[in-house]
Amino acid sequence: MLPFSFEKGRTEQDAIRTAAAGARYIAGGTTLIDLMRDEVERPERLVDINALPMADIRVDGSNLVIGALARVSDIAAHPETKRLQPLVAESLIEGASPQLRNMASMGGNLLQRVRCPYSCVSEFR
Amino acid sequence: MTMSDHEITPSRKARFTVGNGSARGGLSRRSVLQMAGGAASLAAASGATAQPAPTDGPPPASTTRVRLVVNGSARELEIDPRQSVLDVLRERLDLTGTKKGCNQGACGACTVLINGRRVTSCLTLAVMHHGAEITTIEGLARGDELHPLQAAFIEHDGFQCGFCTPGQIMSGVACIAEGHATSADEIQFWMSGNICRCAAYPGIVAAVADAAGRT
Repeated sequence: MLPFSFEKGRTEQDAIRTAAAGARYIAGGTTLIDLMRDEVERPERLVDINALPMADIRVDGSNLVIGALARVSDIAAHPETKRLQPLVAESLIEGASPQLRNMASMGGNLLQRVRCPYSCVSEFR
Repeated sequence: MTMSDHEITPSRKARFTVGNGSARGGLSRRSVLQMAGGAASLAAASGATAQPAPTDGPPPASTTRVRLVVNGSARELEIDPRQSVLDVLRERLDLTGTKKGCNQGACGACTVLINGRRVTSCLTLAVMHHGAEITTIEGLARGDELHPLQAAFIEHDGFQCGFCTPGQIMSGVACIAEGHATSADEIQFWMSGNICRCAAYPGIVAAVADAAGRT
């Protein structure tokens, strides 16, 4: 893994500014750290966004609103998810493992890179 | 076939001796790595620039200060941001009970509890957990008194080689606390993040079920 500097994003504006200066966001890190070890991803700066207030799971009318930093395990276990979107709850727990689901954010889940081994080698970065 | 190919000659015995390395006059891989880790952390603590450990590899990048509460003890460490929680536990804190199996989050051997939740410690950076409470396998027993799940693993033959076992037990503790151990099927599903090459699965499931019944 190549060296990088690490900072904690204290506010959304803070994190966005740091990213605009070239830093990569890290939330759960379950994809990014893996790819950084293979040097497929080579960020020089990481900004940790886990403290940002974006982890809510709430209901808006008949819509389930999921914050990007909500952990997959929390979303799957939430009574409102089970009530309004039971298939989301069921399908989330079919993926990865309980440990990974405790770490993975929903936003990161959607942004996950392609898992094909051919595309995850540094030669094809 | 002569016996000479398979004879345990003194030089072969020395090569295969592990542990305290007494056959090599007191030096083992483990003791050299521990000395190197100790020297690096001493240099960092005194405020001096960290010197490269006496092994191959580039010098460490700039370090970050992090506070981790590990098994109830607060530890202040200067660490390379690249170090995972697993790396810090094993190499900086000498807590080698947690194992590095795949280093990719797939096998679960590195499972620990961070703020009470089970995670794969290989796939998260230590610098991301400033102030967190971390519980490892070393933190389960109360002195000589085993945690009920540890006792159940022994009773139900939940391991053979034991390599996956610390991760299994940490995962099992959390599985029970989550309320996901009410049946053998449920345990199998909710322990699927921990694999066992020795296939001690029936014993593992029985141990978790037993301990769940007692809590």
